[in-house]
Amino acid sequence: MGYYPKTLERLVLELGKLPGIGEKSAQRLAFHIINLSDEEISSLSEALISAKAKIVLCQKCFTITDKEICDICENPKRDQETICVVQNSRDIFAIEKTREYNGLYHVLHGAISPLDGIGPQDIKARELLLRIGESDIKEVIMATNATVEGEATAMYLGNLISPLGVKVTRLAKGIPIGADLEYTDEITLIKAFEGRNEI
Amino acid sequence: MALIKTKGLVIKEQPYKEQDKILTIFTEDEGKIQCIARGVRRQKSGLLASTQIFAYSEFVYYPGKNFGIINQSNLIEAFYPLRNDLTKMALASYLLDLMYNAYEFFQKSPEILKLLLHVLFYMSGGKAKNDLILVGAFQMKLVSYLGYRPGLERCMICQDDQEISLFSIENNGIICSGCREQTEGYLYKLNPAMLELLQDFLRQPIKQLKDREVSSAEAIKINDLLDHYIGYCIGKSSKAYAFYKTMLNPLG
Ligand SMILES: [Zn+2]
Ligand SMILES: [Zn+2]
Repeated sequence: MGYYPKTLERLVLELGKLPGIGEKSAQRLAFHIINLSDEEISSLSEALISAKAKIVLCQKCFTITDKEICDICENPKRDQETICVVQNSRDIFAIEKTREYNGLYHVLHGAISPLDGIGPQDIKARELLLRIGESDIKEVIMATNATVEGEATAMYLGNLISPLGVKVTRLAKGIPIGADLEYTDEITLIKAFEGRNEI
Repeated sequence: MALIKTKGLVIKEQPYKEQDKILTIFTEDEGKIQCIARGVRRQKSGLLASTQIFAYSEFVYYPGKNFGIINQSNLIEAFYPLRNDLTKMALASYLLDLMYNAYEFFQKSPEILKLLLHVLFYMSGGKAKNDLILVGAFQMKLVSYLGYRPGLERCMICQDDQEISLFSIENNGIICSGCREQTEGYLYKLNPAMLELLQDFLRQPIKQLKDREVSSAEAIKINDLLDHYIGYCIGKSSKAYAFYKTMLNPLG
């Protein structure tokens, strides 16, 4: 990269650290950025700095927000008796896009993983139990990933929550839309059969 | 480059780039290998289930100097019920961690892989009277197979077989009360039942041991001892074991 000016080289280097950005894309972005107007540049850099500075975790559900309590938790029209438990804030955005769900959320910020040394104390598990104990929750939907860690986390939390007299459900697993039945693995097929609906 | 086809157990997975994973697979024919599984963090990949930890699958891959590239994989057994019980999962994860630590890349051990598969089968199916016995038996058989079989018949110092009451890590086996003063390092107290259990871990096959009834308190002491001994022998301690111990009372 020696043929670039040092400052441009640094910009390419920083952009290349972003996920999904290879060296080629980093160069393209860098050239785009140096051709922006002064206003566009200050707006971009201000957006970066303020996003980092102002994004905090919601004190109730632990999703990322720029307020003390996030919009979903604050919205009185949401069903206050149902909590959907997810691993990451990004999962909330995916579920919200479907417009199928109108309850509250709880973000664990990870899943229990013995091999990575992540235990119940390292995710927002205790906070979930406290929250259920303090409010009038009727149902908790476990929407953790369908990975070994996600399943184990759902099962573990479910076993702690059920004795509190709260219904615990797990998202049904099924065949992905557009997937060929022939190429669907056995576990998914078994789970899809278990969770089948009448049509 | 010729494709390789072999059965193997996924013992470790790490995310790689945006959509990929690096898997460590303990295979029947090629030993411990690392493979890149492309696109397996995407919904549509047909390799999703066969490339998670604990998956025992048939893999077809392009070999490479450091990393193979997985071309196809078919799930044989997922040991799915391990996910339903965090203690079981922590114990089973420990066994994977032992396997990872005990072998170098490309080192083979089809016998120990077979043993591990049996243990996981019994554990996930709830077929053992006590899972800690399965763990102890695996620990003992693994360390012996690696060439560090502990002496369990006579005192490692005076060769007497009377008043055996201790296991000495540094002396690679049991010692008698009389020799206690002459030894340094870590000592574990053994009662006669614990000594017999250690000996049976060596002598008896796993399918017999799975029916053994034992107090969990004693079994945990034996597991602790063997984990310490393995760490001493192979020079690596298992983080997963420490994790399992904290797991016994996690949110308490
Ligand atoms: Zn919130
Ligand atoms: Zn002696």
